[in-house]
Amino acid sequence: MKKTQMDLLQGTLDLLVLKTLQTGPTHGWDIAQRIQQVSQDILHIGQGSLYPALHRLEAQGWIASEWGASENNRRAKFYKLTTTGRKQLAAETESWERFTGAVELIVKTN
Amino acid sequence: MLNRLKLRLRALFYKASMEQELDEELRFHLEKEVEQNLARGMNAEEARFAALRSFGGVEQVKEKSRDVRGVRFVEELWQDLRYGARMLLKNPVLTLIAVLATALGISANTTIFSSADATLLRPLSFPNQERLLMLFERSPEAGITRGSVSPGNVSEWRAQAETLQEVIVIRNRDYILTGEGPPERYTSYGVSAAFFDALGVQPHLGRTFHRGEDEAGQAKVVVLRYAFWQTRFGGDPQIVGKQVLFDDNPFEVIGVMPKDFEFPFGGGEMWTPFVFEPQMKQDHANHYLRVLALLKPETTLTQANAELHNISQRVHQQFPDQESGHEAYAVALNDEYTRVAKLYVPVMIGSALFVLLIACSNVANLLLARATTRRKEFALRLALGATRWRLMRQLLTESVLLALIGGALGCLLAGWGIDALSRGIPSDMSKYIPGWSRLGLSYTVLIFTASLSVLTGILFGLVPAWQMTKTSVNQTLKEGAGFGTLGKGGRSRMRYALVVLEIALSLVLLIGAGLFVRSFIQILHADLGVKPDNVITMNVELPRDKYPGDHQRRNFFHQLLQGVQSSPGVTEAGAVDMLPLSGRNNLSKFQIVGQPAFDKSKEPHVEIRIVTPGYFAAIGTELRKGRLFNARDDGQGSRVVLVNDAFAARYLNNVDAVGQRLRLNDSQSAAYEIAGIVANVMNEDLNDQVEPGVYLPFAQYPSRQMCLVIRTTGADTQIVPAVRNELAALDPRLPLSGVKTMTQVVHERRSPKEMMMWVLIIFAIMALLMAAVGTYAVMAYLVTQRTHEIGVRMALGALPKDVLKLVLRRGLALTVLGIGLGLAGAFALTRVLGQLLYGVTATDPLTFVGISLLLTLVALLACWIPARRATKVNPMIALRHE
Repeated sequence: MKKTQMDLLQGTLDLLVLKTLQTGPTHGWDIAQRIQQVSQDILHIGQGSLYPALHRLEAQGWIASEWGASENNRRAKFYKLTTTGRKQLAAETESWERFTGAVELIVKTN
Repeated sequence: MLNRLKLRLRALFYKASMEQELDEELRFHLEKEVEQNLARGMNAEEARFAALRSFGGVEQVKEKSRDVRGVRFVEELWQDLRYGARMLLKNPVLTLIAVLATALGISANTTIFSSADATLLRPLSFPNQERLLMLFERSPEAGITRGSVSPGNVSEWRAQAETLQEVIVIRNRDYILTGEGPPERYTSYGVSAAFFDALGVQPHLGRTFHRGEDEAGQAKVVVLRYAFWQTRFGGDPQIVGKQVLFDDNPFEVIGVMPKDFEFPFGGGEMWTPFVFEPQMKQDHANHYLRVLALLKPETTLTQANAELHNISQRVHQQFPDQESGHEAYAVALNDEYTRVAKLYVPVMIGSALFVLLIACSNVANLLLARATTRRKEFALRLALGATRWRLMRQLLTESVLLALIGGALGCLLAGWGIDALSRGIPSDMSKYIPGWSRLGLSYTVLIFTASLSVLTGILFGLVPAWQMTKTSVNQTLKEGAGFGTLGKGGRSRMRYALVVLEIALSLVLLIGAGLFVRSFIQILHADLGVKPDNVITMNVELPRDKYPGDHQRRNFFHQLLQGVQSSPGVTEAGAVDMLPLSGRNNLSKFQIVGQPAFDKSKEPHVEIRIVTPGYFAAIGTELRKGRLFNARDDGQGSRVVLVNDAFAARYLNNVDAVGQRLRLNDSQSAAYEIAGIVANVMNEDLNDQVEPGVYLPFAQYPSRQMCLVIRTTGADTQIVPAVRNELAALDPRLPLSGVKTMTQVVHERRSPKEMMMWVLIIFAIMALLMAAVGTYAVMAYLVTQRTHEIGVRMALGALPKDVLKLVLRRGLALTVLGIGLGLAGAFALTRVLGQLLYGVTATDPLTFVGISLLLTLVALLACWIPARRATKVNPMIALRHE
């Protein structure tokens, strides 16, 4: 089976990470896994961009980190959404929907 | 926001733990990846390999993650600082010289800036400062430029001036404080009641004057100066409301001014209302008031001056016989009180900046030499991908670090400098210098020093940094040991230019200092007209109420002086109402009988002094012609005066002056016969001008307030108790004030010029030292660079003297160029010293030539040492150098 992988549009990684964290705190590896699963293997997040993104979001104050135990009791760094992060997610979701809506309008028009 | 700050702080200060966390986080990810691969059925090795491959470069991910921390700049700065500190430590001698040079430059500037800050930038700080003016009268034909004001004029201004909200008079008055403790004389500033309100200042305790408290018949009140309250009343917090006795009259203390309030810098200890008597309104003839005025809001100095001009015109028409061409004008208060500072401070600032510039060129030269040896290091870093901007930043960080260390040391030195400066002017002189009491290392001064240090670092760091940017990676890396090729090109030209600059700047400073030394020697040897050695002076003032008549005063001082004269150790005793060189004088108009009257608008003034017969012998002023006063020149005798040489020369053409007659004040007054001519006494400013002067006999003009002048056999201060006893025998309630030797009085007058001379001497020595070291360093470097060449020349038969010539010629060329530039600069710049010099012109040829020779010698010596070393070069070793 041939998987169709896509490159991420610029700026969408933030939205994906924030959205993934909406369901609850988790660690970096899990975030990458979930994005892959939910997107049915279309979106692959390279670690090279995941961790800088996580650190950047943390520096922005949209997510916070905390060391905790993973499923098999290993030390892992867990990220969770902050209040401002939630607001940011709402804002980014809205602007994403407007963007895709607009693109769709153009693409569907013949 | 707070979160981000917290994160950045953490990134800065807990870098290690953050790095560890990053490491752990990424490892966890890898392990999860490996686990998943294992679950997919790979073997252990395959799983690990696949995980690593999918992960990409671990270090790149780390680096990217670090970037988002946003502290990269600070981190790099920290790196640069540590690296810079290591570089400085690696080369301690160079660092030490550079730090010392910077410290000298910075300390000179900090010291001078503190005096500029105190006396020029903010000598006064009143809320209404911008609207305050000083009013003067001038009569250019009569030689009066900043004359005091007549009460009649004050009254006209109050009535007519639309631009002035307040017109305030100031007149010092001395009081004798009696009561607890020994009686003592203090000066009070008599001021109009609106004085404090006009300045806009508030008292520390109590209140200031109410309106109308300066009218006749009001209760007597006094506001104390903070220091006076502390010293004389022990800082009594209950002082307000208490009565004190001045001249045996009770005054109520109504307030104490804040510690930093000093105005109008006349040596006063308190403020009392100046009572403007109704009859004073008509007095246009006597000019004795100082006047302060407050502009109405929205009016300007120009408007005020235009209005004062118009009022002056009207007053002249109204009182043609009283007003003798005096024209009123106003200057801004701040300009008036920075007048003297403006003469001295800019010269000192200029000199200090020169010292700093010399220090900068010196350090720049050192850094340039070091940058040359570090060229390989920089080329390598450039090759490895460092940007030029990054390397420039590295170099600038190093030099700023160097400058800051120098600045800190300079601050310590400046502490001493400021101390020396404030002790350089005796307090009896400095209390008249506005702002001088605030001299010190204030915050303003510290901020100035810190900024100056950073600027200095950038300035001397720019030269090597700029040179570095021109480094060609390829060529530098290809170069061998580098000798032989480095002597050429821009690098060396820059170093020579810096040396020329140093020599030129030092020459200007040395010439400035030389002029001051010459001037001061002239002052020391100038004929003062008095012989200050072994003379002691002190003031005695008789209260008006107790000694109302001429007869009583005459008797009192006659007896006192007789008693003093007979004391052991006293050779001569006399008295004068205003001691020469003490900064006090009294002017009067005059007419010479038999000569046409002076034009009203050009009436000259003469200095008047009232003296006892013994005064001239006591102070050492010589008689030129005729006779001195004697005991017969008393109330019954005919009216006589003595005049000085300047008077005789200017108004009597020196012919038959003795026997001529003159009238003082106006043509109606009695005529005085000139009994003799005495020598000139130098004026207060110790400059070439001597004012025409007239002496009156005390017995005919018994003043209440006299300064005793006592010549002793050498033990001047030891006779003071004897004088005190004589005084107490006559009146135990009278104080003896202002006890001072005449030498002290003269020294006080000289002190500003003396201090200025020392400042310039010290700066010039610093400059000379640094220029010598700078020249030496460059020439020594030149010799090292050309060791190979010198070796070849010697191997080919050059003699030591040829080598000596080779090196000296280069040094001489630099020196001559520097001296030429310096002479041009000195010709242009020393003009500003003109007003401060005495007995030498600002372009004194002797100083210019002498100093140039001195500097040439020093520079050549600095070249000669490395040149001699060059002659010792062993050709074999030199040739093997490559």
